[in-house]
Amino acid sequence: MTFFAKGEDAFSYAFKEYTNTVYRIAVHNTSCIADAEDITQDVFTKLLEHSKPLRSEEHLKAWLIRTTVNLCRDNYKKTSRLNVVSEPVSAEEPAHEDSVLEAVKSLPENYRNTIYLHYYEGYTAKEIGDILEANHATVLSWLSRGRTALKEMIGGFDDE
Amino acid sequence: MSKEQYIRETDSIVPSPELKEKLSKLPEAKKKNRKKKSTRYAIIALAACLVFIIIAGPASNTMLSTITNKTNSLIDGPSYSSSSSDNYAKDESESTPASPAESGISSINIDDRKIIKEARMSVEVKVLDDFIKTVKDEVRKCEGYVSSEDKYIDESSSCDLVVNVPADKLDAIIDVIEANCKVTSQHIDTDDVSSEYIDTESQIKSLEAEQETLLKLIEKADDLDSIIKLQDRLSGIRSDLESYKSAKKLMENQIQYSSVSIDIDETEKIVKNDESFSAQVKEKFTKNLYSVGNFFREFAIGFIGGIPYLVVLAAIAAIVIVIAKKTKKKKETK
Repeated sequence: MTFFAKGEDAFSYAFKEYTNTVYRIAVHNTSCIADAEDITQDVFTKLLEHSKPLRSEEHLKAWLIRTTVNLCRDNYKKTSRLNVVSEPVSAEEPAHEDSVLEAVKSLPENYRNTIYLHYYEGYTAKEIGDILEANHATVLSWLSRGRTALKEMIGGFDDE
Repeated sequence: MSKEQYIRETDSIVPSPELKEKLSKLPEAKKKNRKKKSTRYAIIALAACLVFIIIAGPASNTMLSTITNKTNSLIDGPSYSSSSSDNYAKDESESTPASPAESGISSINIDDRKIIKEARMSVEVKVLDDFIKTVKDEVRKCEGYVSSEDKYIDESSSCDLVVNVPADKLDAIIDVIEANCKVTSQHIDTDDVSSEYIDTESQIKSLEAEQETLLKLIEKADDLDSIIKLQDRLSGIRSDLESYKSAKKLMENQIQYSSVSIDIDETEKIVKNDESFSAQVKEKFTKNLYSVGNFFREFAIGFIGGIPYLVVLAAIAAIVIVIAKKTKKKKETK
């Protein structure tokens, strides 16, 4: 278990181990790659400016996940306010109709993040609750509703 | 198998080499930025000394020339490469001249700032329907409205409720919610959208002026080609104008009304999911053990780090003791 006195000390470890995690959460929560890349950069910039200690690798990862989710939320609020379209925005990649990822991305924020953290990162409901600062039972509800919504969209998502 | 497909698809999401390159340069760019800031502060401090000396009078002429030389050498000092400017576009903007919108922002009174407040809460209640009714009654009293309500009756009854209340009534509704349930988490986001609002207003004014000009040109136009081209341009302007006006209206609505998102869980059915006594004891013991360990660690860091101060204090104390002893001896011999 490594203790990081501040964000700057944790940077090289975070960059090596958790860049993909941060980027994947950003992609889940944004509509284009450019926004996801900006948010990833912002998260690591915030890490460099973080002056409080991070007591372990797990604590660091939880901090990165929570910061990414918060920045994605701020980005969504900003883009939804100024939704001026003078030219059509072209998608970077056409969405695949049978893509499970696209179905997960279309879920409400809490459901899709919970699905990602549980099925991809392997966190338990309690751990997800600690990361997203939500009640354990609330997380279970989000997981259940997320699975129900996916079942309606793509015909199912394996239940445990 | 959907889960496996999801994992495969997520595995394929990786950052580009260009993004990784940018991220790897962040610590270096931060150090350069820090150095630039401290140079700026040094220039300000020297300039302040310069002003003081000028006011102090002609006796300080020699000092003045020394300081002026130093200031000049700092101003003409090392130039930074532009490669860091990509990563720090936002920070670098602090040193560039303020745009009209930015200088407009700085002159806004605190009361005129446009603030959007949103609250998110997770709560536990004994009886779901009673709590929902209490919240809705309070929202009606505040002259707010229910924006959305999603109720789930499965293994644990719950509800996702979103209400909008006038911004000045946000604290009141939160107080009522807190008094009627157990709050397990609460976040209040405050967003200052003054710059976006001013930008939007400026865009609207500019588009309206362009619309006026185009209408006058259309009146004066003779040939059909020109009229068609001007009409096309006018349609584009009108479409943009409507979009900006909608964005402004949305912002005004969000400023005027604060939203409160409440995730409500009914507790009586949730009790079954509580951890066992031994698991809770283990968790508490581990947490407290960590806290004690952390305390000793922080104490050791503080103590070792403070040794220079302790040495100075000890030296002063020793001097004081020696002087006191000598004074006492002199008094005794007298």
